[in-house]
Amino acid sequence: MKKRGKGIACVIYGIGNTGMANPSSAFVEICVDGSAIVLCGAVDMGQGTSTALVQIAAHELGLDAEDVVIRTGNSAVTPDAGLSTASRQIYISGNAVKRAAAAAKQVIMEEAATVLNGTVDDLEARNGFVTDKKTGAQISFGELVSKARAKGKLAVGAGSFNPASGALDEDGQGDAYATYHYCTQIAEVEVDTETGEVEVISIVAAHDAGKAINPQAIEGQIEGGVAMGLGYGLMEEVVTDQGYLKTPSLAEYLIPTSLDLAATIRPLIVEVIEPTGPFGAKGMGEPPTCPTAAAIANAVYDAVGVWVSELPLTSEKVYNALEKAGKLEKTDPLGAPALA
Amino acid sequence: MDGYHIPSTLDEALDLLESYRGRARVIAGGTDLVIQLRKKEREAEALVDLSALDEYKQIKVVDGTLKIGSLCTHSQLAGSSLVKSAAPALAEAAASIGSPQIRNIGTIGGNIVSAQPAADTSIALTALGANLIITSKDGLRDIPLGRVFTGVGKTALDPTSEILTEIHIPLEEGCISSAFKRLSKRKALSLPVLNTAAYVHLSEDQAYLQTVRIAAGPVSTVPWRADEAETSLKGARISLKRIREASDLAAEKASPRNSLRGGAAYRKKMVGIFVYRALKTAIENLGCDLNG
Repeated sequence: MKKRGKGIACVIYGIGNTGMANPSSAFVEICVDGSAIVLCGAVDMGQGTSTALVQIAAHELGLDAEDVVIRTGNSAVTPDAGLSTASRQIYISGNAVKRAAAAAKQVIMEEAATVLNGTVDDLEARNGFVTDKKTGAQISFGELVSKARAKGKLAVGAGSFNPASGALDEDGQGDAYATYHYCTQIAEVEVDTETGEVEVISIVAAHDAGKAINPQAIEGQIEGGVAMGLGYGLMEEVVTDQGYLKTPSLAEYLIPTSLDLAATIRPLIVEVIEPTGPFGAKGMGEPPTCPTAAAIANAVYDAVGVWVSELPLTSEKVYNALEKAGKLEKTDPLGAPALA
Repeated sequence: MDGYHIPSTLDEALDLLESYRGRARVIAGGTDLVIQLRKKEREAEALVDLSALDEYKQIKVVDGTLKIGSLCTHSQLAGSSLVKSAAPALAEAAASIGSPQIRNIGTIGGNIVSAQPAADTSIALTALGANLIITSKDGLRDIPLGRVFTGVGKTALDPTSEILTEIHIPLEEGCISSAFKRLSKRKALSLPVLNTAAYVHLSEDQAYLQTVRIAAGPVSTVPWRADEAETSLKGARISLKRIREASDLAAEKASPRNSLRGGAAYRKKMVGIFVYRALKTAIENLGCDLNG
């Protein structure tokens, strides 16, 4: 017999390193052709930070994203941004890039005020042009860089940011993070009451990442994180025998294949603006992996009424729990009528 | 390694095996062998690649026998309408192996001679009562599959002189069908916690079971037959109750081992569940409504 159940799990996830300084820095240069270069050590290993940092720089500068290039993760060239860990790069390096971009932009804004006979407060930078809102007079970034350069000034800026992480006391207590990611996931599962097999039918994953700088990338992060969380919940296991690793390769240490991810994963982006984040953004790299296994375990309880408190929820463990609780149910009860 | 040979005829392949005196190994898809060679679990001075022997890549029915060339890939078996209708257990078993890439290159012959106790096609073929055609310079040997396996990874084939060339499945006249059921930790690229296959031959009025064969793995060092359960169903009137009793008997007689993939006690219980499911599906394939 197959029984369905739903489970819910929530996570509060601190962004950045725990109770310690973890700064990041960036350089931005606006070039004579009107484009901009961002240098930042933040390593993008597929999670999309390079794209989001370009978007942040472009938005701050008043340029189109395609006119901004970024160089990352090369300590010979890029300034220190700390590690791509703790779901911290968009919040921390995002702020550093935003500040560096603002500093570089200040040079051309001041030049524009001179050239257009206005004040910086009346100027607006957009799509690579600075416009005087009062007169409508306009000049391109490229021309401004060229004019400033002739006077010995370059449109470069440096920025850094260190989150206001509170220190921990001797008991390890304190407000250890400047900001937090909040998320809730709901899993629906189907449990086979004869075998203990658990099938995940769907996962709804709602994540508060602050302002969603790149919604599509965030959805990708949610889907990928849920997939890993599903593996953690149902199959991933390091097994040792008298100190010897019995799962040394991906042939024994199983992670989900695409067939195991038939579940519908529905990402929901919840935007609660973080005042200290770049345009309100927070972090969201790791959180999607965290609640999935717990939501699945809760859904299994909802479906068949047994708690399995050890991951992964293999069919064998669920079967044993069902057996212990007297809740195994065979598909066809004995004594069914003979075929006429 | 001394050489990699791609003979264009079977005779040439047999000559090569003879010349290496057992120090050469036959390679087909290589999905098991290459891994074993890398891990140094098997040694070979030379490899004799059978991939050019197209005549052993065919599936046909001749005189009431389903004849499958040993070089047929799992994809070929899984997609063959002939196999799907005449021996559904084998089509399902082949479809459950590895991944599309592995199924596209791995062969039924290789799956058999690797002699793993839960090789999916071996389990299906055991229930289907298959015979193997083994060719040497002296001619053909036609032996029941059950007598080929001598232990984990071991077969009765002589590596100096013999090549598995065909698999023959007898197609009894009348109401026959089969089914394959598998429990694994994930849905692709994983070895089974347990796999079972059942073959049924019903009476003409579909009320009685005439012949039943049941296989499961990994339950023993070789593909296992649930002899007592089979006997208990021979001539039995078809009912869910009788099938359940026979499945429970199969579980009672099975003595699987503990392994990374599953505990002995759990596997033993699952023999009962999956034998039941395989028998039920095989009978339902013939249009019997078992729920009365």
